[in-house]
Amino acid sequence: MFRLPLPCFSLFVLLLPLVFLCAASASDLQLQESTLNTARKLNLSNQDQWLYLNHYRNKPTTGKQESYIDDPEFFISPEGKYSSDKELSATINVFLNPESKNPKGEYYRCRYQARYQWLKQKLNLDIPFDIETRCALFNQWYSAINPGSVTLIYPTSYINSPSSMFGHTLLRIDPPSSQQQADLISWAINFGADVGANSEQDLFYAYKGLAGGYPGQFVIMPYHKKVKEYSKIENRDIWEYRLNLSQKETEFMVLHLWEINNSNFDYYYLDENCSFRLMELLDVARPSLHVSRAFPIIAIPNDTVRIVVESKLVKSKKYRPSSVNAIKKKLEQLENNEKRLTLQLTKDTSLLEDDNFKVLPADRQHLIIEAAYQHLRYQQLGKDRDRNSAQRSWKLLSALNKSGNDRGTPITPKPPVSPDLGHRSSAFSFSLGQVHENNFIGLKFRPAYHGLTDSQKGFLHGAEINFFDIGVRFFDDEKVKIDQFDLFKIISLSPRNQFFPEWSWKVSAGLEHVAANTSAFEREIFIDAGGGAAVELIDNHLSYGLFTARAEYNSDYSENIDILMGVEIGHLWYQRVGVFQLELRSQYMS
Amino acid sequence: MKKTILAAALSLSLAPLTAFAVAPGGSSCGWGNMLFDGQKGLGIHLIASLVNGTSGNASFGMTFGTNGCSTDGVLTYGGENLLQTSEFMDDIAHDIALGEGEALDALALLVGIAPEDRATFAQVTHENFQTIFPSAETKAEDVLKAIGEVMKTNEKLAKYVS
Repeated sequence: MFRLPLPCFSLFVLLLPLVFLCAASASDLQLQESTLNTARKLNLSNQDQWLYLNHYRNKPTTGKQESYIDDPEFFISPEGKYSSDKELSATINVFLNPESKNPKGEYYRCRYQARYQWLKQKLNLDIPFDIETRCALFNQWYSAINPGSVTLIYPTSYINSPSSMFGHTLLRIDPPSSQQQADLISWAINFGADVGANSEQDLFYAYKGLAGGYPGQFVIMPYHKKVKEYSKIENRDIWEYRLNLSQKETEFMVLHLWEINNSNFDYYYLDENCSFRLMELLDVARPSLHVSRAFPIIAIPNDTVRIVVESKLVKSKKYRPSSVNAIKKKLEQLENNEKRLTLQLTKDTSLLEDDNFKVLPADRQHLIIEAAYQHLRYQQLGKDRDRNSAQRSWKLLSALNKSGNDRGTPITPKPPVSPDLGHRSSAFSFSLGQVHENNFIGLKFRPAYHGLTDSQKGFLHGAEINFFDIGVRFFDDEKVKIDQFDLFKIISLSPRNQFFPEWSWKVSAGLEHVAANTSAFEREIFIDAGGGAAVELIDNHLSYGLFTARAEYNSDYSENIDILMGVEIGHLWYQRVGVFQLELRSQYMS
Repeated sequence: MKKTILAAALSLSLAPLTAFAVAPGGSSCGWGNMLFDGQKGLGIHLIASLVNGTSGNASFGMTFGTNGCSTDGVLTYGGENLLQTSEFMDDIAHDIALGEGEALDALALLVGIAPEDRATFAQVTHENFQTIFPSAETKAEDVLKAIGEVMKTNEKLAKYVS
């Protein structure tokens, strides 16, 4: 670390020019001392910007300082992960010796540019180092990223995909506003678990994701790849929130991304996940935000988006419908006979020449062809290339091309309520009742996330996702009993029609009170699953029917475990004031 | 004449930067992608998407490369990496059929069309849909070649093609 003057003096006689180098090294020492002193006086190692740049926090269990970054290559000091102070000193030292390189052979000055920029401003550093010529890799990367502003991208959940249920967030870096924009080719920054190539064989996927078995990294890719992945293949709506981070703040964040390039973070599904990491990035760009501190326990993507809105970071919102929703919106504009034609057209493009079709006004023809094309492409998602279907798709595009000028004004459907305006994740509810002439007041707490009869604004119809729902009853005779504990409850009622023949299902497990003939307060452990279908024959009315199977356990039961099969039918009515549900269940013990 | 300097610079893979390291249309490249290609190989599995996972070669950390694909030859206009257009070629086809759209805008930006010529670009490509996409089996590299040819026939757009 320190360049001792001694070897220099011993060579003094032989190599006179070294005298000057040695003289320089003596004052280097002075500079080092004074810089470190200033840093100490200013308490830089405890300032928010430094803590955020290195992802430090005080671990809740021990109270000790520790960085979220799980990668020794990130830290300059061997104790950097546990000491912001030591990391700061080590950083200052390498900056004062700009020729120094890390073990991978990179110049520290090329790698840690965000740190340098901040320390330069705080300590009035002025160490010449020509980044233009010395940092080729960084320059190529940075000019390709071309940072100007940041957009928070929020792919919401898709009703039939349990893995998407909590949503996901990522960032998109947009070019400076003075330049032309094309979102599809801007770069998306995504934090996710590196699940490795053998993921399919890994039975403990979900468990590992929850328990931190995967390393997490930031990866970068063109935004069109993400649109294809989420909007098309996974059928998820995407909301884009353009943030008001300045160009300087955006540039600083991007400099930091280069610092953490290839660095491993622990990935924990619940708390140290994609959304939490993005909060940290926002805090790096603007430390006064402190958005990452709003999530000490769990980071649900929806809540992180809400915080960003509440922190007044959002300039504008844009809705990008999923393939399914885009098609549904198109179909809504068609009459029933036109819908039939659309479906037929996807199967047989010779219908384009049919008199029944040609007699329609040009703009109706155009709508039908467009809907048919999109639906045909939707059918091919997740499948290998099909020659026949490709041929039909091409024919439809050719027809679209020919009819292009007779379109009339396309109708832009009104976007749904954005998810940040939806209800919050936790809910309390209470009930009044009587069990065997014993009155009670019941209190329920649901930490996450959304129920069938919750306000539907900003959420999907027919979806329920609940975790750790707990209910307690306070009885007249002063007894307090837990009457319900849902480990999880997931319901997916997806309306089925000729275009989207989807199935509905539900699954839940937990502890529940049993209605029994005796006055004893009986509870059982259960696991429950059901499959069936739902239809929306009239707008805002969802009817559903499911076949169910259930296993119950109670030590007092004659055979301990009971298996029941049954049927469930229900109806949901969506109104502005709320959602009404009627459900009938019938179960038979086998 | 290779105007692929930027594209070559972006290639951070260890593949040698010789003229045709991998022929256009090679198996790992997008040039051979046909219109309406299947999307099975994207590997978005149910549980992988739970942890928003990546598996290996999707993108390496935050640097990016062209997977050793040659970006020569086809890119005789524009300096950007046009290889990525093979990934949303379907959207480009759709937008050209209509004469407008986000994918078309992205293509124009990559090719380097100035704002004042955008409308012409949209119109000319729209009118020449059949030339650019003669069949369902049109490959990405042929699409870009055809666009270049069509641009040459228009006095405003010819300057972008060399």
